[in-house]
Amino acid sequence: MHIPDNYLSPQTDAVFAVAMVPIWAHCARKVGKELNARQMSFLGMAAAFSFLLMMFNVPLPGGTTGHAVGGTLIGLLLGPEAACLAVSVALGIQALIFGDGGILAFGANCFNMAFILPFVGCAVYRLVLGGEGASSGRRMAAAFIGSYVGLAVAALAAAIEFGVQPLLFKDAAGAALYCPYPLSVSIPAMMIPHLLVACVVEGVATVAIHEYVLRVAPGLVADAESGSSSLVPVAVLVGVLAIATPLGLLAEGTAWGEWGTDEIAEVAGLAQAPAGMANGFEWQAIMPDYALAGLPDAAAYILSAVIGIALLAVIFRLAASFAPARRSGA
Amino acid sequence: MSQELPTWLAESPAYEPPRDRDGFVRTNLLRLAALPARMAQAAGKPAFLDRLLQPVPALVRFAGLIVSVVCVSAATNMAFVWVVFAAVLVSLALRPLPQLRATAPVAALAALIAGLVVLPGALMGMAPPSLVVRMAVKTFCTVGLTLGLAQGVPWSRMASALTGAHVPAAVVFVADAAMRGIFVLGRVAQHLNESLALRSVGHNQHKSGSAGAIMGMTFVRASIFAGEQAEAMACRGYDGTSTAAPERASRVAGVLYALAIICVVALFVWFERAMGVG
Repeated sequence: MHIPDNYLSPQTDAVFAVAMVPIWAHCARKVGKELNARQMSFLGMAAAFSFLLMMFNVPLPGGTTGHAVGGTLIGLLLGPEAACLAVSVALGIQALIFGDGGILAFGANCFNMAFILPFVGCAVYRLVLGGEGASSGRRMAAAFIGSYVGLAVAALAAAIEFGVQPLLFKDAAGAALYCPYPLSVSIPAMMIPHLLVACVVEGVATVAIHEYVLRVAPGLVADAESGSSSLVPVAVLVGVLAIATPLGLLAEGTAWGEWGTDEIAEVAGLAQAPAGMANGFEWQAIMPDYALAGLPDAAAYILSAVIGIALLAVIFRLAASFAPARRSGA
Repeated sequence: MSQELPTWLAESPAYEPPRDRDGFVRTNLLRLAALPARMAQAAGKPAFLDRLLQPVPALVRFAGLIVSVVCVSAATNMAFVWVVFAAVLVSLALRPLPQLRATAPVAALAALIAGLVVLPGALMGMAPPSLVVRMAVKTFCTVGLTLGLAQGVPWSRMASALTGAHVPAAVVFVADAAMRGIFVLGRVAQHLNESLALRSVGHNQHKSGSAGAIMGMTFVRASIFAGEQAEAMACRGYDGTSTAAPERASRVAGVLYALAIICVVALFVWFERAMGVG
């Protein structure tokens, strides 16, 4: 679901980038007002969760791969606004350092995975949960359904963004300039594998980690009034997930819509890659596809996970240090 | 019988201070002056990693730093640099907040400057674009490692270690006095800056004069402190020789640390030999 550069037209990229600015501003204001310094540090851990979950690729029907995002999970723990910021920062690091998702398409990726996913997921969660005093079974069901629907709607948004490109941007001969797949292809290609596998993985991961955090560190949750707020158990879980990331390499193939420019002509059955894609912007990532020249894939994958987690922890801890003292006591 | 107020007294005492751009004095000078004091304050709380490495002799840690910096600088294969980069990031993430704030922005700024220095060459096609990232990451690693040691090993231990390494006593004494002076004078300059900021009302047309006065006053205070220190030393019978107390450290921890550094060197050699330029 990480849209690479040149699949969307620059105009589309610009629209989503501009659309995200007020969303980020609102989320930053809300997070700055509501979260204390400890919860801000936990937000870094939550962003690390999201970063790691996106590294766990699972095989999808049709020979492609997919992954969970963890946006609803962060939304349930710290609020959808915090989730928006956390997933945005994780996506930024993925795009800049690892070339996972486009630089120009950063706004679109954030719109799908950092905005739609957590906000829809949390809204569905609240709807299913009902009022106060719900049983733990109902809470788990609500978390599963919320995260499932959140990821499904985000995948639908990405499919629509792909699918409208050939309608809006064509050359004089009528050939697509960017993503060549129309809506009739992009929607089923994205939705069927996501509904069957990726959304289920998202739901299971959300329920498991949400329940774990509620049990070991309930004080970290945004609306918590008491309970442990130790970051240690959460850090241990992040460490275990980081070591297990090479499992994501077991899924072979490329996610739908994430093929390189050199692959797209063959995959789409075209004589040549669409002009806008072939001549588009190209970002030289430092560790493209979480790989390093000469280093075994599994080692490079773990190294990437460690760099990503540590970067997120440093960024969010520094951000937490700017939280006003009156809120830093929790 | 009523008395009317004179017009000058009846006027509203509204006072609007003229807008003054004294941000330079308030922020930059104040922040620079406070830096040594902040570093000293941050060094007060040992990080988890520093507590773990406390038994290691300071000289061994210093040698380890030199070896690591040389390896990072000489590395042609970026895989090794990324491994060190990951280690530096993890050590930063594990530091207490004051130390993190005193370290990470400095290392990031140094990396940014290193990248900017190489950028024109890359833009003009005289250097590969990857060199910008390479330089920035290497700088981040070396600065991060150095600041990590500076915060993890108190200067008193380093002075003892230098004495143990047969560095001339005069050199150790001068370095010791200089380090203490930097912290003390940093606090003095900070206090002077705060006084200036508090007393600055209205438009200050002599900002450079104010900044110069602060520096000059700091220098005057430095000479006063030096005189007082010399008198105090004379009172305590200083005869020109200085000795530092021997460092209390674990030999086993030192050997283990040295082995770890050898592993780092072996990793460097393996990456360079087995994988070549990457």
